[in-house]
Amino acid sequence: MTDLVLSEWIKFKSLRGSWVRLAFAIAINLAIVAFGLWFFNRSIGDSEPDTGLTNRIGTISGGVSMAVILMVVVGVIVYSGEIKSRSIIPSVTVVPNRTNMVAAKAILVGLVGLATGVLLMVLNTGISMLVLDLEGFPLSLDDTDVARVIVGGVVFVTLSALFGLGIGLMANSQTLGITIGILWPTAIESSAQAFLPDWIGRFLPFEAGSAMLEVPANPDLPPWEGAAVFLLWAALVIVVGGSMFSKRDLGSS
Amino acid sequence: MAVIVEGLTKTFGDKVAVGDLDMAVEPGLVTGFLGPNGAGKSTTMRMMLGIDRSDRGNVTFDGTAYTQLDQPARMVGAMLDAHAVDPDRSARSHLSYLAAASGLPATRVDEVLGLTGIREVAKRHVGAFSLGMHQRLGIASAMLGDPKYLFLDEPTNGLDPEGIRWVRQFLQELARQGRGILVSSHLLAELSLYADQLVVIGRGRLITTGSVDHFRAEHATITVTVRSPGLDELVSLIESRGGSTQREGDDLVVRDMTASAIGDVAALHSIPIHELHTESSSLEDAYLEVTAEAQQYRSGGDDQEVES
Repeated sequence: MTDLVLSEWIKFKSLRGSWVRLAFAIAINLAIVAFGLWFFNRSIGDSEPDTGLTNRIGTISGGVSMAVILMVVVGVIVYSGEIKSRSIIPSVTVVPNRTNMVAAKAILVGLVGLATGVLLMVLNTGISMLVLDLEGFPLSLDDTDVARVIVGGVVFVTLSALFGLGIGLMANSQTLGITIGILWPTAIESSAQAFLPDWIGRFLPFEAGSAMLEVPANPDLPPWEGAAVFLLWAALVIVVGGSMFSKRDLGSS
Repeated sequence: MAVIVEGLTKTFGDKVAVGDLDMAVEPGLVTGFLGPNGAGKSTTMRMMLGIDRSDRGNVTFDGTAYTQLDQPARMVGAMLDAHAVDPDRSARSHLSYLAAASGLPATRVDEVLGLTGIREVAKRHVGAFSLGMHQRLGIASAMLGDPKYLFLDEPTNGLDPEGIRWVRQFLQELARQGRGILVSSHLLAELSLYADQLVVIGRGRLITTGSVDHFRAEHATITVTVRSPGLDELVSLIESRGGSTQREGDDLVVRDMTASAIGDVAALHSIPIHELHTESSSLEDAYLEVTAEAQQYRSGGDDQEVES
């Protein structure tokens, strides 16, 4: 399996597009963090400024919701990019066990998501803590909500990339996969929630995932239960997508 | 020890792409896989390597199914689509990830780059490659594992004469080293220059198999043309000895009898012969004849054609 993960890493790192997408995810996230801090700073001058913990932590987690959308796209392209270029043919020729290939891709995407998530949250936390401290509203890592949102952000980013991999495997097309990957967190879930009862709606993938970032924690779906629900969704789409991939004819894709 | 295909079948709806195909690829031989476009050659090769799923049938490599091989790249190297490479990736990166997936050392990448003559362009994006460089990169990918068998789908497609000669000599050398080569083409003239065995298919079904000489003997038509003032008398003499005749103007075209036998008969009966010569239909003619049904099928009913 180490060889296969190394192979997937070479595939990933040798395409400039991979780095561009990750850089874009980080840049958009940082732009939202900057906007959040500017907005927080502006609200200090209000007659009744809301400088509570929720808003302060919000400056750390604000950009994550946008970054996860781009991480879904990163995950989608890890498989569907090979379908688009047809390079899946030589790949499957040297790795005829497709289950092993999916496992290697999942490990690679998980590691890339984890590294990106750590980088994002380190940057977000560092910048927010520095600016808020200068403004006299410090945040402490000792605060359990702060620590939980930081770890939750890393988990959310990681699982989003894995969820994207599953979408890519199911869609078997880069265009379709990216379209679904972007619309799911931005439109499909919110549309579905309009029709579904609340107790079902909160178990939708990104709604459950965002529970990790909520301050105070949502009593109906606590943070780590939300993480578990999103993990199950990511596992489900990878297993279903992997199963479809295993049965698929790839020569005429 | 060989690659054995037994009863391989693939249908798309009610259209048979490959039907009950039996064939073998033996070590030390170049096996030419021949058939008109749309005959099912590419589908067969993809199924042999598990890229497309067969409806039924077995393919074994020295007795083992492809998916069960410990090190597939060491058993079979394949180039099924020379353009199946991400255009934004360099040739070296493409080979590097295939080598890593196969558990091969990175040094092997340099070796195959040198072997196929593309070391100079190894860092260039594949999207900027010419057709010939694509084919060489595909062959380099196939050679990574120094495999026992090599499958190449139309490796000379679009190559210039120098490139075609390079592929031919390269494959002949590999066969001399004891490797089994399966190379597909729709052009018999090209394959007849270096293939030891032919497997001819049409409409996904086996038409004939055997050596090039066997194919020629079996399917090429030999006729003797005779010009003589005594043709009427000669016709009855030839037919009484088992020959078949056909008048074409002043000439008599004879089948199933050699020129020397006809000359002997004429001499025995003092019939003057003004001209006597033997004609053999070309290998290409024989190929077109045996695949005529598949060709007509393709040109006569496009809606039934299945992609190869």
